[in-house]
Amino acid sequence: MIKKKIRSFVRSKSWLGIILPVGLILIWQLASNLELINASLLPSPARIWRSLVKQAESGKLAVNILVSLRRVLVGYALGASLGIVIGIITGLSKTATKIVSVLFELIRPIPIIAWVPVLILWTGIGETSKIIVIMIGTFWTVYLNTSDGIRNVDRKYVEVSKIFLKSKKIEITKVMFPAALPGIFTGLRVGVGSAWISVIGAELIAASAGLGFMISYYREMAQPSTMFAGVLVVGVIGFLINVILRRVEKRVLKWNTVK
Amino acid sequence: MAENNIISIKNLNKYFVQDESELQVLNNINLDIRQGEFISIVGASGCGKSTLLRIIGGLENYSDGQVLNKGNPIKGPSKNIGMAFQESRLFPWLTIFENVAFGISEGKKLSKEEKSELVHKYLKLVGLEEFVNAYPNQLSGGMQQRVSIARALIENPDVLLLDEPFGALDAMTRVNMQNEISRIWQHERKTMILVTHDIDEAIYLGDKILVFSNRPGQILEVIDVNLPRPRRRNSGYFERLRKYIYGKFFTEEEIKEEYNI
Repeated sequence: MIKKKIRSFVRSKSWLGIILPVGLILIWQLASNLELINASLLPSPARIWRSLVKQAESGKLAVNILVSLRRVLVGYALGASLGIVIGIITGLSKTATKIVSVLFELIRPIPIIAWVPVLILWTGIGETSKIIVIMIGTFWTVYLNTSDGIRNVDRKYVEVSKIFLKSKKIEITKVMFPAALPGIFTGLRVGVGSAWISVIGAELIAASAGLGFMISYYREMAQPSTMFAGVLVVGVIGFLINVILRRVEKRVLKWNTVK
Repeated sequence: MAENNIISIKNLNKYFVQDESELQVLNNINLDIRQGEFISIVGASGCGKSTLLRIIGGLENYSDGQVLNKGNPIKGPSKNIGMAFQESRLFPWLTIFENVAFGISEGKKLSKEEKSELVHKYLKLVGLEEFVNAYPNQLSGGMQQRVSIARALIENPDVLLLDEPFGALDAMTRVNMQNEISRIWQHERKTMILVTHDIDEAIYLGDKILVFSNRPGQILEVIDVNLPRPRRRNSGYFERLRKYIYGKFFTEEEIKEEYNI
């Protein structure tokens, strides 16, 4: 079983992706040992690792991770749901698309981070402002992909629904929605990426806990190795979220790949 | 009497409007189809034969004339008329079972057992009972097409419309599918209307062959096929009929070149 997995891993050439990060860390460590890099600007990988372990042992790291993840979870769930619902409506109705078009095209180019001060002004420094920022970050990609997905459903499938005299409800839930699902999933996957970026951004600006807070706090404390540990964790968690969502997508869209 | 005919078409015309100019697609179609008849419609591509079928299926409207099903005008899709298309149009996200069950009327309240029994009955009819849990893209093109025929038949319509259903299949599979349709037709005694550009297929399956002209499509000739079933594709009558119909589309020279085997 394990042997088989290793063999398929070797054959799939997935391991090629590991060469660059590992090589980079080795060179980085070597350069640090040779004192080619100023440690107060960029600590060595070993130094960062020690800070990370210390943070983990003190329990502070877990708290910061959980706080950020909880915000992402709530904001992402709200933003994605809203994106799917409004995406379906505008995907089905040209009138609805026209009604929202100008407003949406005006709001959409505003960078997510620009919302942070506005929302702090409106809702204070608490959880609400962060969750709304994540919601906005998630909403656009999910909305655009859902709307496009529904609009581009093959008319031939809809015709089958017509010939069997199906109600509008069945036509939407059993035909159009599943047909648009691959597109919707692309939106969900890209959306979780922007949700993660949004939460860190919001926490960098104003927060008393979370990974973004950890990064800015230890910069102020002049502890670059702990700050970099925070950056590293942000990257790793973002990577893991993407892996998990790909797995879910593969399972839900099994019909899209079975041959 | 039109009421004796399952499908009755009178003075049917159809125009497509294109940038303010009208393009005539069907020209004065008159046609009566009796219960249980197998009608083949042959014609070149773009002659309007598929449009006629889609009008009968209620998927397309018409400009003037009458199209009746058992004396009632056709205004949209109906439970009495089933349809299979050139592509199987199965939903890839549903299993074979669920795809066939999609053909069951929404208003019909069936128990789980009744539904399963019905689906199995029609999958058995097309010889695919063991594939209930497969997904469409695990099946070959011919198998997918058979599933789509099961789906079209499950509500027991009076009429089955076949819009070039074997056009996308390879030659071997096509012949098998023609045999299959012939068997189902004899078993179920449905009225079937087949649109095809394959003259052999039209002769092999049809009681009557309607030969369509190029656009605007009109019926050039109605040929009765007086051949006992199951039909032999190499009989002298079959051969002569094939040559005769080819003659409607190509000149004598082209026939010789293509068919001196």
